[in-house]
Amino acid sequence: MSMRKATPILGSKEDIAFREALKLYDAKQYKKALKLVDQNLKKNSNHPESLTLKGCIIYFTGTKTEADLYVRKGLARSPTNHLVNHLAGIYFRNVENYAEAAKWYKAAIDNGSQNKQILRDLSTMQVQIRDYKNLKESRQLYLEEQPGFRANWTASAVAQHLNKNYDGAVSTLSKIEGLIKEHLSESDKVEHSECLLYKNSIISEAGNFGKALSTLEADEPEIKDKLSVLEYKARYLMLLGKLEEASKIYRILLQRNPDNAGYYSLLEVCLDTASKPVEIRLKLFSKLQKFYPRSDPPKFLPLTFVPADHPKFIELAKSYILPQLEKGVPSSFINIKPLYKDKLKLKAIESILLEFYNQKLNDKSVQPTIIVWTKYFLAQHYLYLNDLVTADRYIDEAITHSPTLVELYIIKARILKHKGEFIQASEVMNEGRELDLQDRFINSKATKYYFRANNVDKAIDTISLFTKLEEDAVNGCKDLHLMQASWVLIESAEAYARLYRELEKAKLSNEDADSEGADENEDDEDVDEKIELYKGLALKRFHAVLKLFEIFYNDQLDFHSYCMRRGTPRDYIETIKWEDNLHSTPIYSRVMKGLSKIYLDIYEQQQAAKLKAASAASTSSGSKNKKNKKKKSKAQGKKREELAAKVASEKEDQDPFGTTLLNNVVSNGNGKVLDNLFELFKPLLVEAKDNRFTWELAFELYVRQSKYVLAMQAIKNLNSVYTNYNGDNKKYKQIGDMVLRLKETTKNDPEANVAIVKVVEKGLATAFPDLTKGDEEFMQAYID
Amino acid sequence: MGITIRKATINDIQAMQNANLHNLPENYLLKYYMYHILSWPQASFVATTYDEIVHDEDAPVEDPKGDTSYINKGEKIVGYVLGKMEDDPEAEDKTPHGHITSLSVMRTYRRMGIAEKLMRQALYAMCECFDAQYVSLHVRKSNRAALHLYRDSLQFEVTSNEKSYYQDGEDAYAMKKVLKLDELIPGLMQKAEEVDDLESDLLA
Amino acid sequence: MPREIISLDDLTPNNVGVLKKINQVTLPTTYPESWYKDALQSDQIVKLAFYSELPVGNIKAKAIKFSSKQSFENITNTKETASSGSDSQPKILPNAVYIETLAVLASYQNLGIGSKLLSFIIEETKTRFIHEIVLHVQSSNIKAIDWYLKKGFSKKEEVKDYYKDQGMEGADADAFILSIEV
Repeated sequence: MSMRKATPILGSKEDIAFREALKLYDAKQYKKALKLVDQNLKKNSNHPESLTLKGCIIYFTGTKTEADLYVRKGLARSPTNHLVNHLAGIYFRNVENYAEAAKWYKAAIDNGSQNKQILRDLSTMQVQIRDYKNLKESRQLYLEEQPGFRANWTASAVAQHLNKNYDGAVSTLSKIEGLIKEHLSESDKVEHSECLLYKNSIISEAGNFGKALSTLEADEPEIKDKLSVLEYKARYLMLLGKLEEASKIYRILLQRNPDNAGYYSLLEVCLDTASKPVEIRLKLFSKLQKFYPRSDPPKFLPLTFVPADHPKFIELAKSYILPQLEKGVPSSFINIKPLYKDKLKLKAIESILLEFYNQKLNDKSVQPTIIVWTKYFLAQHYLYLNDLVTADRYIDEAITHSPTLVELYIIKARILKHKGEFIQASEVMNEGRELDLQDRFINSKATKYYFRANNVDKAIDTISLFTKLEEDAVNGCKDLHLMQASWVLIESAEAYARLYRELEKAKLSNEDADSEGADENEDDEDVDEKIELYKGLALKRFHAVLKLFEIFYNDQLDFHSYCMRRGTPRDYIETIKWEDNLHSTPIYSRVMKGLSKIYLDIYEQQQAAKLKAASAASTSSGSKNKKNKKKKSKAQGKKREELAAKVASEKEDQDPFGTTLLNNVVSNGNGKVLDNLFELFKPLLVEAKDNRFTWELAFELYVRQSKYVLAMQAIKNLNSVYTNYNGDNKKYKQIGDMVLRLKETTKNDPEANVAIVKVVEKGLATAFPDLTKGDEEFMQAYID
Repeated sequence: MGITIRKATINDIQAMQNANLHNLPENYLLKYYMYHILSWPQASFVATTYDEIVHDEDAPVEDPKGDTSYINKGEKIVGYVLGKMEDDPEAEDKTPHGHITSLSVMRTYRRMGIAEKLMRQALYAMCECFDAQYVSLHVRKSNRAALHLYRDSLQFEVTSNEKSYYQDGEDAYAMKKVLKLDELIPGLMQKAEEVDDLESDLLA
Repeated sequence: MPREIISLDDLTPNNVGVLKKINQVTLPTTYPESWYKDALQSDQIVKLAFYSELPVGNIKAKAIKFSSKQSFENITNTKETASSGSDSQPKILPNAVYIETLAVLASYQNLGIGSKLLSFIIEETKTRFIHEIVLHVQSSNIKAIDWYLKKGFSKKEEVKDYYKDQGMEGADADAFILSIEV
């Protein structure tokens, strides 16, 4: 931090030494800085600036707890000293406690710091914690301080925009446009162009499309991003009902990008063809096909709107699919698969394919590749129909025909996977991989299939052929964490989870089978150790993905000011929205799905143990625990070390097996397990309201936590996810089951608050009126 | 599944990173994708599937697949091009020029010309929005398909041979293509027998 | 720019699996891992054949000293001891190119792929100033023998039980030596 300007007149020797130390700190010379600070504190152990600075230094050289201690000490000695405040701000920013950082930056300014750069840092903290109200103020203050930079105007407008003050934002942007107009250099033009578009997007966001359009037309000569101009213009024209004009713009857009399917749909909206007879639409698309013969949408889209029994369907389908088979397009089946939702189209396409296939089989001069790609298509077709025997037959024939075609092994493996033959599937995928070691795609597939076969070692060894290896690394595990390979982390987490569950299941059935088996203690111990190992690793890998989401969220920090300088406010605003909905990405739900199962397993086991303990308080489990602590032999220790090297997720991993993590989850005990899980799950309640899973898990948690009103709300929300999607009021069995389960649970809970039980009872009856007919009849209504 | 090609946005970057990790040995942190989108928002493109065009009334509502290649329900990234302008202050050549950081298409979606189409969009945008005079890229010497795409389909030229450019020691060809805006309009590169005059009645 | 439907390309460590797969499904002989490792050495003449970008055939050959039946057997015996390397062998000037494998997947035969591989080897032989190409073929494989004869090869002699160690019996175990002057 640069404080030269802000430094007040300091007299004492301590202050001079402090300033020296500060300089060293800024230059990252922490050891020297620390020496000076320590000298200061020897003379005056209460010197607040030195205390705080020491905390800042120790953050880099020592432990976090110690650093925290010094910063707080400094703040306690002199809470209104702006130097102390500023240092505290810096410290909390470093430890990623942005709310606290904002608080102290603000205090520094309020307590008279003349260092205006603090305003900029403050505003960064404020966006990071989404404190838009105060952001507006600090950005405005900074703009007044430094009006000579366009970035500060943009930043101020962004703050106004985030506060939904559209007029203010537009006026700020217009003001700087006017001021800068005569002074634009060549290198400013990209930024200028972006700012004009930003202004325009705000006008339209405010709902004033007429003004947006006229402003856009006026600004157009100065805007370089013509794609945005055209897309904005077409949209405004549509919204203003000028469809004819809009259609012309979409035609220009198609000329620029004839592979954007969205433009074709929007062109159809403008021409109002969707409601017109199929013949008219066909005519339109045959024209578009002539204009853009190498683009997919004008060929594919007609297949979606021409009905299967239309005389032209067969011809169109043939001319779409057959050339792809002749050319050997691997996605030929995937390309038409969406049409299969229409059973008649499925049948029609099946007969086209079989006819083509038989004709080619009898054609002596046919290119052999056409035969194999057709077999490949048919295998996928029958796999789709879940006719695994026929699918298998076609793919086996295809492999006999062209055993070097990698794609065939992908489908063969998928068929085996559908049969539940996970190990065989992984071997087949690997056979495909060995044909093309250079292709990472097939390597990834083989890796994934090894994971699915619960062969984590083989999976990691396979993918390690494509990772960077640090000198001492035995495999790519650390690199995969570092490179944010979330798909690998989640697949391995799920594999470990399956592994521990398999063992637990086997153990349970063993216990049932021979409850007297005292001889097998050794084995039991081994099994317990393995269960703990896999459970720990599953937790660790799931949490590693959650960690990635934290990183992704923090990644925005540098961009709060960067985008203002760079002049990319439009995409910056999108980024803010994206970060705010980060947890709605499907992978987060998938992690929560896996993680919640483990947490709930632990919770249920603890509940069961509690019951057991209550019923047989005399038998202590102490003896068993002792056994677990039996000394490990040297050989075992070494084996453990080797294993740690394989699974560690970072250099000097303190918890390679996730044991500590697991212990924390377990020993937090007493219902805390659910609270902790809820903390991780919470973002979904806001960001993924449209997902079934969100409400399914919410229900499970609330019921267990005896939060019955919230559980009822979760059922209602899930129900509206269903009805919103289908637009009908179908009664799903899942909903029925949940309603009854909640009803029973509340009734049978002796500790439940009577008033709450009443609320739930009434609420359920209102939301699900069938309930009054009695449980049986109710379920009848909900069987689907 | 229809394939559509459109400009990449910040919403796509997780799936782009996923596609990159599946397809190529050179990988980047998510922040580097953010840096591309937030520095040159117009220079990157994605190819995605669109599955929702045929609505299945009988199917119950499903959550989006927990597959990292999905951006939304039924919308999956099958290819991307990550483009940038040269911004290295130490770069020798100060004329504005573009660079292709990464391009890949999932193996199961090859032979449909997707890579070429993505490239044409990126080249056009770089030239139009950032006045790129030319665009450069590196390609593995052993990557025949990529060489064919750049040299034969897109008319790039090899400018130099860079020894051990890649981490695994493989050499790279440095390639370059001079850009002229009016020769780059993607829709006019299809050798169509008929060109849309942008005026006449399409329904007539 | 359309590419030739049939093309030849180099063997690399990354596609050696293809060579293995093609041999596995087309040849009566099985080769040890070391044989495939050797295929990547620079003294080997190896090409893969592609049909519409799909690998469907291969040829693997090397220059040898071929004068009498005796020394020829010596050379071919290196089939089993191929990994021993060339250091131990005395420096001898090669006078023939020996084709170890020439294979095309069954579904891709009669499309000119074998011919293309053969012409490649003929050209390659000439550039080494060698004038003879030799090979072994199973005596019972009439189709292959006819094909080579049509290409101008002639039968030299028959080696009894040549394929015996591959588990072959009777006429299947015998081999002809074919050769051609180039």
